[in-house]
Amino acid sequence: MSIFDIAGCLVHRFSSFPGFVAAIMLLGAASAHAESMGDADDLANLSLEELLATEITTLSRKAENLGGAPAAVFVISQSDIRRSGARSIPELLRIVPGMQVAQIDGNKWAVTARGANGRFANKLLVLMDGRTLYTPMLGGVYWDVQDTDIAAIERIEVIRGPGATMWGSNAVNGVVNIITKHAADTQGGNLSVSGGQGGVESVLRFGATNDDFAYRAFAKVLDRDGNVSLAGDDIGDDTDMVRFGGRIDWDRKNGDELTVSGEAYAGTSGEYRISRSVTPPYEVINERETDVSGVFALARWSRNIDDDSQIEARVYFDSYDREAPTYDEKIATIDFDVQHRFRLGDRHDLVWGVNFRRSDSQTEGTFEISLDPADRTQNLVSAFIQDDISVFGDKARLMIGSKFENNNLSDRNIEVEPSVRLATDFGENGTIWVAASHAVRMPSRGELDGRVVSAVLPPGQPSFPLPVPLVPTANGDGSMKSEEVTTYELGYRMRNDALFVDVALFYNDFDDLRSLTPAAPICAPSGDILQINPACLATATHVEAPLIIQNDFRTETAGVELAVSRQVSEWWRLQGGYTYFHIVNESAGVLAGLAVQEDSPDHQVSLRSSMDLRQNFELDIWLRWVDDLEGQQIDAYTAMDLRFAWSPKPALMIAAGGRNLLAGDHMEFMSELVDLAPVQIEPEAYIDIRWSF
Amino acid sequence: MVLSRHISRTVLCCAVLWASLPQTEAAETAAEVTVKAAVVHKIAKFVTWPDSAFESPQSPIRFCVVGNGRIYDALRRMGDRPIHGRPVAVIRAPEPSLAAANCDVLYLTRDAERRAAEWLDVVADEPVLTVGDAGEYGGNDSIVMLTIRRDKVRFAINLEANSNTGLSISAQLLQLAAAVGGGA
Repeated sequence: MSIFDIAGCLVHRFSSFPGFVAAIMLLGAASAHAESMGDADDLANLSLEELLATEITTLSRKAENLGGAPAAVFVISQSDIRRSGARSIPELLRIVPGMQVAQIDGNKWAVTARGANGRFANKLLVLMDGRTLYTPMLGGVYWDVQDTDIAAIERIEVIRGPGATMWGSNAVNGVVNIITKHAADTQGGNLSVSGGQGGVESVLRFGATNDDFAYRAFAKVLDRDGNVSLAGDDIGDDTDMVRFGGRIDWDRKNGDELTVSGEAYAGTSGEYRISRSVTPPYEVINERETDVSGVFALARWSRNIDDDSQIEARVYFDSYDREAPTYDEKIATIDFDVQHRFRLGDRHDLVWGVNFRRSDSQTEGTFEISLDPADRTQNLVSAFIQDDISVFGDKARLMIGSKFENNNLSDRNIEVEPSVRLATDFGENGTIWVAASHAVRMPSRGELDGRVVSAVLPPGQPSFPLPVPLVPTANGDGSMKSEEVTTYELGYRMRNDALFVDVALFYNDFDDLRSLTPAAPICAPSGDILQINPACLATATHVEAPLIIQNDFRTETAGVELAVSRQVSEWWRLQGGYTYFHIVNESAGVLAGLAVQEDSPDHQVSLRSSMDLRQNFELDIWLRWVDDLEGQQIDAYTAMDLRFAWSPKPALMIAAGGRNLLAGDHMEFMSELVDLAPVQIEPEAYIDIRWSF
Repeated sequence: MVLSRHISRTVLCCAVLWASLPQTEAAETAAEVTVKAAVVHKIAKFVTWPDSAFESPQSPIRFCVVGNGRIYDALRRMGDRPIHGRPVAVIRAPEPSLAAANCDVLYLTRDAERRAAEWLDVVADEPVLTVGDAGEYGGNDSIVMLTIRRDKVRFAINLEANSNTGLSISAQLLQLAAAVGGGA
């Protein structure tokens, strides 16, 4: 029902377009009552938090039931955020059944859904208020800098499976939409200080409002302690960061809404890296730091043209600078987006839009990583249209649409990313949905232009005896094209006043995946091919064995994702999740390259218990079991997060808790670039104090 | 000529009259009212009344509605769901002088706005949860103030208004409020 307009999630890329949230939470609930949007029974089944997220105009405007969202969606709510005790976005994403989240070290994460995980997991698109956090440099998200005032996040919407029709390329395995609070929802002063074995951080925020104008500003400082090596020694994966930001919302009485937001940050991210050179000792493990800084500014304007149409325009500028031990990168991006949504007759709800993005990137390489050409300008132009149609006498909804994209770095003129989705009522309070979609992942700059050293083997290897070191590298020769997936999904969800169940099954057929093809070894620095001119060894400092990045890999994956929520009593809620992931089939005889396929656990289980004890106490227990990673020889582990919060006065909340308990020092993931030494994640205890004034 | 002057004067007159009318707020839609009723019903679950507010453990929680808003019907539809194990009764509010004895929740609709101060005054020191409806703008001194922003229902909590009622408001509710006013 589109009150809750799950479609919102598919249809709208940003927060201010009608609805999404509640939608998702509501899911099947309302759909059983076709005749009555806003049915009292349906609403009574919602929590207060969900009610507050329910859009009343959408509710009245789309008075017919459309059968729920035809996609695998999950929303992390404000209470999830507070009660998780999480201090970063990746930690929050662990809440979502179907997400695969693993911590690499104190500031690096591997985050994806439905496989192909990695530090540069490149098949998950992440957005904050419509601004992409995905970097086109090496692909994926730099989680060490993608932070904000966590308490000012309104919600996080996660759509698993292709979202390319609405959101564009790289939304292959899922889309994460982080939506920050309206400035009017962060009023007054707020000071949060937390500290523990994992370091300290504090956030100071102030907000005020004047009639229809509201703003907030915040400053955040964090100093996080790192983890330990396999031997249990402290290593250098510490993090420090200073961040300032703010947001202004101006809601005109005529229905115009203007939002302006921005942030700036600077800090360092430490790591325990394998540094390589062609002189002895060739490979050493040492503590190194990356200097990071960045800034963004975003403006968004929307207008209700009339009851049946809405237009929204957005522009943002985003720039960052990373000076890593391996190479430096700077990128500046400007993005323009316009969307128009309108009703056509009684059955059609259309949304279409156009987008232009330009990125200028500059790099400075080292022996270990370099890009050629060092600098590039990328232009991305795209348009999409999607129709949300109510069918079968409003018992079902059909969503059909496509995105069309052109990127000056891609070999194809136009990438077409269509999808068809259908949802219909099924049984008491239930919705069943099916979907077929096609999405692409565009090659990163690293894959097109990069040269990445993956090892330095000392002279005299038994299998390849040479007088000089042998250096295998992954090389982009500019020929890589987009990876492609066709996905088929089937889902069911139901909800009544005590129980919510959501199951999604998927089957992914990937083609043109990144592969590595061995090329002839060459002498460096002369560049002679060793087989043709063996004499080149005489002057060589080393021999390079290039692996050329191509698109010769195929695979098929499948899985099941289950989310269950049970309101045991008014004060006790249980939420469970189970994820099964399976590689059905993969092409033999090619090197899968950096996209290691065994980097996702077969099984994951999560159980959260949230209790409201008396008036002012909250007790949260969160258990996670993650299966082993065969490809990395990382063992299965069980971890528990605990949080106990007490609010002695309305303006004060004191919480104490622990993260990653039970698991001891444990490894969760290794960087696929083989550039980091193994790190064991440590359990930690913390105290968190929040004061409003 | 005379006719045209007459018409133009009439038009001008009407325009002045129209312009001088107060801007009417958009009427509450059925959906808005339903969501508000659900929100108020939920909010009551986060509030603890002193035992003295009820005659017996089986006594209902009484929602009194002041004014003609459709919220009355919407609350009644919500009414078969108990709160704190007590049944819910929804009634149209009697006179202000009777409110303290007969109401546990007092909902002041927008069209009760002019008399809001009178109602709020008589229950200020009683265990009565007052709920006001600000519409888009404005408001009164109710403990809970409902507003609409960007198509969503929001509520603010005024702790000062609650300082003498004996009601206990849970920390979870304060976390969900768009604003908490009136000091700690």
